[in-house]
Amino acid sequence: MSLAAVRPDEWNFPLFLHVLGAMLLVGTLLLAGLVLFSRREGRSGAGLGFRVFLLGVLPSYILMRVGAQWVESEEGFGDDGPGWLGFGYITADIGAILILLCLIITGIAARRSARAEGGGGTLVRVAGGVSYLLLAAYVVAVWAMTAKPGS
Amino acid sequence: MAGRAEQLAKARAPRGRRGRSGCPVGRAERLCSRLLSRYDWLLFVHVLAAFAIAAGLTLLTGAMILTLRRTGDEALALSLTRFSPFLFDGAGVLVLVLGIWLAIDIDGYELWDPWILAALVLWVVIAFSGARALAAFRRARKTAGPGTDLATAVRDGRAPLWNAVAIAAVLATLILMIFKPGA
Repeated sequence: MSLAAVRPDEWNFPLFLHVLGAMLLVGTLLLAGLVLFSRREGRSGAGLGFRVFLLGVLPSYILMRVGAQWVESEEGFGDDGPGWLGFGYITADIGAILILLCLIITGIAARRSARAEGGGGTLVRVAGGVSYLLLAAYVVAVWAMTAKPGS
Repeated sequence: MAGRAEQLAKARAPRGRRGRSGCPVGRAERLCSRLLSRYDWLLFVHVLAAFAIAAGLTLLTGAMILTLRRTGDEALALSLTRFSPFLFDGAGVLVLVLGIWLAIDIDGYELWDPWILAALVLWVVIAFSGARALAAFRRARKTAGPGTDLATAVRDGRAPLWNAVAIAAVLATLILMIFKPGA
């Protein structure tokens, strides 16, 4: 008996979108973290970090979240879903708030940096730290999604 | 739903003498079932390694975009490429070894299943094209100088082409892993 025989074909495409989005999310979060903590010859990483969040992290998150919702509606767990699903929702929804927060923070820091006001260093480091925090949370989420404890 | 749960349990149970939890029968069963089965851990690390490969490719693509758009961030681009080998090499070996282990361990999968063979071929393509893209980047760093900028040297070394091949191969592998055609 193979897993493929267990999962109906209709689940495959939304699951593909979900996993693709999750992979891109992890990759772009790592990229954002590295960019935000980089030293760039007198320039802060705020502007570039903002673009990574806006053009990389946010679209990846949307792809992952839409795929997740689609798979869940296909599986039809209803209101009483398993624990791993709840964990996925918690990490995804808190992640959404933190990603938006990082977007705002890096946006403000980029504006300050462009006006040569300086002082964006702390904001940039906070956004970088949040990126790594999200990365750690998503590693745990990957464990929950693959091992499905309590299912 | 009970039938589906039973099917899932059967599919997840590796070969050999197993308890109801899918863990080896004996003293370790209680601890094992508490910590999830070997299958769960193998699958988790296999998937995590695949995520690490995708992350390495994302960093390489980011470095490529920064270089080709001449944003003045060449030093950052080069520093990003320093992380990619760790992600590619370490995760690449893990994903292959654990993938083969899973294929041998799970009832219903065989190493000679067409989708698994195709995935193995794609693994070679990813390893080869990823290594070529990184090598082209490294060569470009050495050749770039007063006469040639890094973007031109990277383009001349066909780094964007190899990077695109690696991205396509990763996408194709993901499609195989999800859709499992013929399984």
